[in-house]
Formats: sequence, structure tokens, C-alpha cells
Amino acid sequence: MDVTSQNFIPLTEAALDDDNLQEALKQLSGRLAAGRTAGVAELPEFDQLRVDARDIKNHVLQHLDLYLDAFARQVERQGGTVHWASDEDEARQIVLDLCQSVNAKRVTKSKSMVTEEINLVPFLESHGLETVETDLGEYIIQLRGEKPSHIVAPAVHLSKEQVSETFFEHHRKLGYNEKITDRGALVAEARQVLRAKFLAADVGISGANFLVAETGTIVLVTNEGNAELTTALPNTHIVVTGIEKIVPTLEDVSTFVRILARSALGADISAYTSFITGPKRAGDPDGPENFHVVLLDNGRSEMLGGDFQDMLRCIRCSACLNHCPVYLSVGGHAYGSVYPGPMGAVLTPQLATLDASKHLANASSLCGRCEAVCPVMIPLPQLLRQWRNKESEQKLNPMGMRWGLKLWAWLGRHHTVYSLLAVAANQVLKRWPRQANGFIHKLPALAGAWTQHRNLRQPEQGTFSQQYRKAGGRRV
Amino acid sequence: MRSAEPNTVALFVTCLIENMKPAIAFDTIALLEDAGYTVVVPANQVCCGQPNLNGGDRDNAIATAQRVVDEFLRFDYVVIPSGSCGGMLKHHYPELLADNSDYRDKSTRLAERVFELSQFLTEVADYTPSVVNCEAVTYHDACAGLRELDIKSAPRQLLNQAGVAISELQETESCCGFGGTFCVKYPDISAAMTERKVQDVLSTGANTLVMGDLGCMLNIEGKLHRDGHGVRVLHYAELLATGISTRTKVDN
Amino acid sequence: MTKQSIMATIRQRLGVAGDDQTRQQTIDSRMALHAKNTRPAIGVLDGAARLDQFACSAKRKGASVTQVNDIAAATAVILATLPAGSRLCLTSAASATGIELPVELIEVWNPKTSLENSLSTCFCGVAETGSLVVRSDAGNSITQNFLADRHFVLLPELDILDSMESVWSRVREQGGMPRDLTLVSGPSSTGDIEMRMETGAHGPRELHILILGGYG
Repeated sequence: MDVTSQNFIPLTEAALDDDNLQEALKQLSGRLAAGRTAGVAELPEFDQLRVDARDIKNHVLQHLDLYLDAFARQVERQGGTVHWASDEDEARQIVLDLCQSVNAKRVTKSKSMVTEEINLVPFLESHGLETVETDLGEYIIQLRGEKPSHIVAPAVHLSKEQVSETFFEHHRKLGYNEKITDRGALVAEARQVLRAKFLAADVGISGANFLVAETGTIVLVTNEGNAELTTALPNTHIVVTGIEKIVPTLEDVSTFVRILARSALGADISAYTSFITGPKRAGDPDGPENFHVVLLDNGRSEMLGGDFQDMLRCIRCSACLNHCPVYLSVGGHAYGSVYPGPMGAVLTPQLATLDASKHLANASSLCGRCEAVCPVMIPLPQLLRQWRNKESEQKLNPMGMRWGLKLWAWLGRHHTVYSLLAVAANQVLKRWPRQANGFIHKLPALAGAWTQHRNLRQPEQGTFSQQYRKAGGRRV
Repeated sequence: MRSAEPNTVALFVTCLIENMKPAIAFDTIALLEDAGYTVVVPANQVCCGQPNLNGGDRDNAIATAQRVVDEFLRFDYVVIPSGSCGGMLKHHYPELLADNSDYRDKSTRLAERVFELSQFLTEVADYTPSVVNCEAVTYHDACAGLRELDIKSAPRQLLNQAGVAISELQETESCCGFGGTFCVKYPDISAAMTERKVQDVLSTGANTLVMGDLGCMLNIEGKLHRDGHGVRVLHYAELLATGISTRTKVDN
Repeated sequence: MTKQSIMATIRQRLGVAGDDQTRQQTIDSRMALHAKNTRPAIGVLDGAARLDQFACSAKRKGASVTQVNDIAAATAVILATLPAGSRLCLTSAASATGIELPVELIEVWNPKTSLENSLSTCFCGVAETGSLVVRSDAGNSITQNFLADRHFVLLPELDILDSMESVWSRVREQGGMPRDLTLVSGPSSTGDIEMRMETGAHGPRELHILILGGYG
């Protein structure tokens, strides 16, 4: 997976200075996190559903090979074709070959994070296929040449004015000459423009929120209705999905349907939950003749049996993003990956390289809110620590940091030396020149990062050990 | 309120309290003694190992954990005036030492005896604090204690019993931006988080902000002071101890 | 072969053999039994409580819900809701209900074109989430309903099931999953611009549910 996570520092600086983005992030937090809180409060069984969901996913992962096999057999029984892709190159090529095999010229696409991961759309377009994103958020950012900044609401970083300008710029050649600023009218214009694309498409590409092994069914969760129009109108439907999306039965997928929208924004269910099983059948008035499922590995199988297996439970609900104080400070683009936020900080180093994305697991206070809201109970802070461990092992973090920690631990085992140093440090800070009213306002070196934005209270006169001894206390 | 049988409690001072604000440790001792306990301070203590655990240095976190287990397993109770250090001993040590046949059992036994201060006072000591004089107070739920030890109601119960009414923050559970080394490695992001917390505090109209972790305290207090706001920041132990007649008043 | 190599990696990482019969039996029996997991209390209601749950939940999502005694009453509601001058396409299943509408209002739908109004039946309703279940089959064109601006649906009260699990039971009784089975829970919407909800993104702007066979 391509990333620009190496640029985390300058990207976050730009993000913190971007007033439009900061306003957008405030809106996001206010709506999605607050929505989830209200939605969860309405459902007394929610925590039990999380436990069920975690257990179902763990069971599937332990039997992933067999469930994938069962799913594939069912798809083929229904008249569909299953393709296997080890990596993004293979997946892109398979999709291109399928499009070319039906002489496709025009492609519509419903939202799929996996297709972002493998950078599918630019690839198809470079081969002469007009490929239009139909999810409104994805459509907007496609026009702007941007990547999504959120895994559920891709255009969340944009203001209405920015959308208005984008539509005005790109829709004029289609005959829309008026600049529209009303939100409802913008949606209506997109509806008209994309309606024409839906009806003209030769191929429809979708992802899958879940795959049901029992019946060979793919499940698509949308609010806009673009899933049906993308997948039922053209003659060919191609599904691109990660191998970890499998659940065993329709009853099992019901559990996930109950927690997905609720975790994202608090709704009990999205407007459309589509269960698609194979191609058009005899007697069907509509549907595609050709149905293909591309099962993508791209590093997922490597996560099994290792430190990051729990991450494969992720159902891409975005709850962790919506509650993460870091994500809510800098937005998704700062992460330099199509997977931002806590889940992205864990997944990106796996799908890209640790070296390129080493900031992501470190730029966290490990506050734990992500784990608290994760519908499948992924221990995200623990997984972030695992990446930090690997960075140390591979010496990707600053040497000063590694040695500083070693020194600190050494001092922890050499109490006498530590005590002397502590007394000395206490004296130094107590006599610090750059202070006023008991607060230091400038420190050197790494500590200077503290005083960049805040003061530091001077310590008391004497460490606790000194004061305790002076007061007659004896250590045991 | 005195309990029927005085027991002995070992105090885990924490490195921040040791070096930056010993008053919290003295107030902790005063509260525990007021609750009828004898407090001893083990000599060989420096740090719980959290910087190493969170900094990718798991091996040293394990070594530190073993050292702490050795020192503190001698006692029936270990009390810590910090949710994050408490979380290390109670929540993380058993996981860190799970692979060590010798320390696996010891760490579990230690975890059972470890209590964050407010949880000890409410769950074990059944302590009712004396009334203190303090108005316009708000409270910040420090993350590690909240998530790892479920510290939420215990400090509030003690403060309410002491006659302190809390004007709750709009987002009590939002991270203040400290996060150990996070605040110096990513200072701009950290400052943005701290600024949100500061605005929340100011919106309550409180003149005193109370919490249970010195790391968060230093962070938020430092920002309040830099920005010229007159809100004072206290550990709940400092506030509650003002009700004990034998304890001197908190300054500043 | 890619499938082989992916499977080999999975098995190697899990430390299992491909021909392990116990594992195969475990998954076969889970799929065969398809046991229910935890269902919320609002998903196991009966009678009046079930109907209320359906109606409340569907209305909350922006659908209009009207209870009528019979098809004739449903006709009246539809006629009152249709804007002056607009026409209605019926799916063949809807026509087969025998519903009588003024002939000048009916138009035959041209497949793969937009239409103003569509009237369809549905497979069932789901009380827990206030959803309709529409499915592709000879009598029902999924695309007709999704290309309409306004979607009217006839739903016999007895067909309001309690939860998704009951839908699956009915599906299995009637020959298994169709090509497309969709839970429709309200009209089309999007929150993609500044996180504010707008209706009518791509699917119908309006959803009108007519429950046949009044209660009480």
C-alpha cells in the first residue's frame, strides 16, 4: 500500500493550522461520537453484542481457510466466479482483465476502502476506463483528486463551500451553469449527474462489508442507495474484498449489522443493507449476468497467529477515529494513509512498511478511548505498543529515546544513584532562572518541547524522600 | 472514621510525586492514617516501568516490574495515588510477567493487593472524609485510571462526602494530552488536546480543577498558567486532606 | 496458484493442517445449525408491541407509515400522496395484488430509466429496525424501486416479522437467498456534506409504507 506517512510531522502542522479542517473535525466529533453515545444508550444489549461479535470473528480467524473455501464454493454454486489476489498488483490486474473481457468503457463504483488501499481507480482510468465513484463523499474527493480522510465519511474534511466550488468547476461541462450553495441542492445535482453514470455503466465495482460463508452472500451497508444502482444495473458486478470479511452464517452477520451503524454514528441500521448472492437468475427482471468476487490478501494472512491477529476483527466502523483525540486534532490526511486514526495506526505499518509509517503508532497518548468504543473489542493501545516494541527492535526510533529508557530502567534498579540524581535535579529545577511565580517557562533540549506550549511548576524544596527523612520517617 | 483493626499499607510514591510534588504523598499518608491505617514507605522504589512499557522497551518494563513485585509483595496492601501507576501494577504487570513461571503467580497476587488511593479509601477502608471548604470545583477523569482501573465514581464519592459539589466538564473523559512522552514528542498535537481541555475547564466556571494523576495535573496546570488563567489544579488527595485537622493547609 | 499460496500461508500461520477433519466438522456444523446469537428485546416482540416497534422505528427513519384495512384503503392513501400530474409504475407483484388505480395514473416502466413513483410489494417487514425487505425475483425489480423518486410499498401486517433472524428462517423455507435481498430502512440519505443529513442521495427521496390489515 502506498503511503505518505513519512510526512506526518509537516502534515499535522498544516492540519493544526487549517481553520476549515478544525471546524470540520469539531462537527465530526459532535455528530458521530455524540450519535454513538445516544445510540448505545438505547440498546441495553449492546455490550453483549460486542462480546458475541468478537467471539464470532475470533472463531472465523481460527478457521479462516475453511470458511473462505466454503464461501467460494457457494459463490460458484450460484454462478459467480471467485478470484484470489495475493497483493494489490494482482488484484488490480484481475479487475482490469475482467473489465476488458466484457469490453467495458464505463465503470461505476460504490464505496470500498479496499479499493482505496490498492489504488484501483487511477489504475483503471490509466487504461482508458471511465471509473466514477458513486458514494457522494467519494465522488466529491474524486473530482478534487484527493484521498479519503475518513473511512466512512470520506469528504468530512471539506466545507459546503468547497463542495460547491468543486461541483461548479466540474459540472459546467455537463451543462450545469449555476453555482449552488444549498446543501440539499448540491445533493440533488449530484443525484442527477450520477444517475446518468449509473444508467450508462458497463461494469459496477463494489467492496463488501461482510461475506457470508453459509450462502456465498456479500453484504453492503449504505445510506445512499448507490450499492443497488452500482451492482444491479450493469451487466457485470465485481466485488473486491479483504479475506478477513467473512462471517459464518446469516444469523452471525445479523449481529454485525446491529453494531456497525450504531458504532459509526448511533443509528440502529443504515438506510440500505443489501445481501447479494450471485448473478442474475432465470426469472429475475434485473441484475448482472456476470458476478465476480476478488478475494484480496495483501498482508492479511501474515497477521494470523501473530501479535496483530486481533486487528483482523476490524469491521471498519470508524468509531475509533471518531473518538480519538489525535485524529480529532489533525484529521485523516495527516496520517498519510487511507486508513487513519487508531485502526490505521495499527493496520498501516502492516500493509505498508513500518519505516514509512513509524510515527503513527507513536503519535498517541494511549488514552484507550478507541478500545472502549471498538465494537469487536480490539485492544488497540496494546497493538500500538507492539509496534513501538518492533520499532525499538529494528532501531527505527531515535537512539536517544532508546538509551534514555535504558538509563531510566537502570536507575530504577539502582536506587542510591537515582536518589542522588533526583536530589541534584530537584536543586537545579528549584534554582532555574527562567521562571516566574514558581513556574518555569523555558527548558532546554527535549524538555523544551514541554515549555513550547506550557509552563512547568517548579518542584517543592526537596524530594519526597528528603522531606520524609527530615520529618522522621523511616523507610522499610 | 477509624476502622476496627489498624492495618499496614505500603505507599507507592510514584516518580512524579517523588520529584515534583511530595505534598500529594504526604496528603495520601494523612488520609490513610485518618482512615485508621499505618503507612510504611518501602525504600527501594523508583518507577512503575510505564515509560518503558509505552516506549517500546518491553524487556526493561518486565525487569522493572519484577523489581517492584519483589519490593512490594511483602505487604498486605499497596496504595498508589495515581491511576496510571496503579494501572501498571494491577493491570499490566500480570500480562508482562505471564511468561515467567516464577513471577506469573507473584504478579497476580500483588495485583490483588494493589489499590489506587480513592478505590482503597472507598472499597477497603470504607472511609468517610471530613468536610472541606471548597467551591466551584470541576473534575478530570485521567485516562489510564479510568480505562484500566475503572476509576470514575470513587473520587467523586469521596469529594461529595466531603461536601464538594462538582460542576462536571462537558467531556470529563477526554484525554488532556499528557500521555507520558507523547507530550514532548508531538507537542503541537498534545497542546491542541490540552487547549480543548482548558476551554472545557473554563466553561464550567470552576476555580479549582481536581484529578487523580500528577502527570495530567502538571500538563493542564502548565497550560492554564501559560495562558494566564487563574484556575488552581489539585490532586483530590490534596483537597480532601485539608479536612484533616492535623494536616497543614495546601498552599497556592 | 494464488489460492493455494494464500491458503498455505493461512494454515502455516495458524499451525493447522488442511485436511484436519475436526476443524471442517466444526465449521460445517456451525453453518448447518445457524444458531441465533444475542437478540435485543426489541427484536423479539409479538402482536401489538411488534407493530408499534415497526411503525415507530420506520417513522424515525423518515418513512411514512399508514395502517389501512385493505387494498382499497391503500389506494386512497396512494392517490392522496401522489402529486398532481405524476404517474405511478407498478411492479408485477404489485399488480397481482389486484389493486385498482385510475388507468391514466399508471405507466409502464421502461427498464433502466428513472421514474417518479414506484409501487411494489415486499417480502416482509422487520419490526426491530422498522425495515422492509425487498428481494429480486420475477415479480419485483429491485432497480425499479431504487430508480424511483418516491417508493410506495404494500406490507401485510402479518408479514411484519420480529427480527432479521426471522427473515432468514423465512428465506430458508422458501428456497434460500435470492440474488438480491435488501433491508430498506427509510428513504435514501447522505451525511457526506458537513455531516448534515440530506434525503434523496441516489435512492428514493420518499418511502411510503402501507400496512394492510389494521390492528384493533
